[in-house]
Amino acid sequence: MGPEVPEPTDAELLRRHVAGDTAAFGLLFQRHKDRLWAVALRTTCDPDDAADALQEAMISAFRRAKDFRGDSAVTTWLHRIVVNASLDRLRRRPARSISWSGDPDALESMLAQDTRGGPSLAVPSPRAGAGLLPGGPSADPADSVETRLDVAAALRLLPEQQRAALVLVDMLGYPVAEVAAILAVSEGTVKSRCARGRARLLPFLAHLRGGSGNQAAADTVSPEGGGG
Amino acid sequence: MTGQWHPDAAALAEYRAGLTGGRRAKRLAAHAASCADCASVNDQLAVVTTMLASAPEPAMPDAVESRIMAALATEAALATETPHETEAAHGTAKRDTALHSVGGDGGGARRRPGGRSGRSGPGNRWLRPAVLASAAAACLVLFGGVYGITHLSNGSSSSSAASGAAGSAVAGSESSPLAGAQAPGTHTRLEPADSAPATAFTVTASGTNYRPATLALQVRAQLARSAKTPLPAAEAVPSTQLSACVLHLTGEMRPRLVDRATYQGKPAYVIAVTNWAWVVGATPS
Repeated sequence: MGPEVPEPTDAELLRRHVAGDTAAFGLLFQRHKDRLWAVALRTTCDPDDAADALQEAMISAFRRAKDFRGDSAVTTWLHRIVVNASLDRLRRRPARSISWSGDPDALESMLAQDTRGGPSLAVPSPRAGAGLLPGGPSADPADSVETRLDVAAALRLLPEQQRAALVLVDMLGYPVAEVAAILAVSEGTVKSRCARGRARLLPFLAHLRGGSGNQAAADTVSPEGGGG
Repeated sequence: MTGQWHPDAAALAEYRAGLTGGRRAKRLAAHAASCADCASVNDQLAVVTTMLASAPEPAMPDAVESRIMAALATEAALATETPHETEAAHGTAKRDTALHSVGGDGGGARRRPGGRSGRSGPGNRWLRPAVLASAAAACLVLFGGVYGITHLSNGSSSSSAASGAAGSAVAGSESSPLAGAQAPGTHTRLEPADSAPATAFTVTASGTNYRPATLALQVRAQLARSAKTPLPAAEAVPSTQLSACVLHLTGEMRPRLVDRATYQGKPAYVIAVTNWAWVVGATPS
């Protein structure tokens, strides 16, 4: 075994790759694979599509590495390619769009039907959401594994662009500025997509809470011309 | 409805996100402060964020990882060809690289139903030495695939092959410590390397004709045999070049088996570490 060598940076790995190091890009992928997978899976909401999208993205990045100008972090660049590939994948696949009227029974039916996301798509039970809202006995949303999984499933209810933004900001915790760079939009657009996505998920949250909560949430909101 | 004006949830969410300004912001703030329902919606919006953040982050499945590593290895191999060759190869192979089960062994990476695997048959381009031709020190070409050899012990049969395609053993770059990453699965499954001076190995000549469906079992059998009595040695000391290539392939880990044998009747080296085996052929030197 050779002497200990410091871990190369992402940028160094990319440079090595461009210079012909056949292993460098694989190592870069290995380093970030779980995050990139999370992005692809949460954006496409489908493991098969996510795998396809991620593979396409990595091959694309492999080939385009020489065009990387270094004006963003390597990870930002990789994420952008993965998000774009995921959104492309969504556009190419047969329409499986989901729209929800707000009717909790319809939500249950939709979530039960579309099980392509794997075993995590159990229909949320009212009990699972008990205590999720402020004022409940427990405000810790991590209380229920089932609930956490269902939240991921609920992402499928969102329009793609809102979902991509929410996945990056709320689920994966990236700063808005970085997400703006990843999505190649303004920070305001990121915030707006996230805000609308959160609002759109509110009825789902209320559904987790139970029928009365859903009704309360529905009564609370009245049209105000699209919210600005 | 109460008849009172309420902002919709999107308006409140945008207000929370700092997207609302001026009089509108003041109006929303004043309303939320006096309306219990809207204050509740406001709180729930925060909970949405918390719930999303608490969703578990999925780990990449091994099969996906192997598939993508194989695709990258194929890209790397194609990239070493001449531009003309690369262009031609991409015309047929760029979409389905990762799904090739090398040499048609049937035990490679699981092909996804409905995936892109059906374009053409298993790529015999893997048999072409050109895959590695650009690197001066290239000495081994992977043509039999990469096999997980521990899974077989629990009866999962040939499906344990880690990937249908992987890279190559290309020595001579400064990246040798990274080489192991090129082989699917090795990054997470390899055990720590043996002690430093123990990278030396012997090339055996067991006379085995390895086959795809049974390779893992055959490797395990050879390992078991060699644990009792040394296998016939093919050569007293492997050449420096072969040694470098093998160690590059294994990520500088001493192989437990380097068997100069045949694979489906063709001359091949079968190289194994604790959890993985590679089937490679020597390129003309």
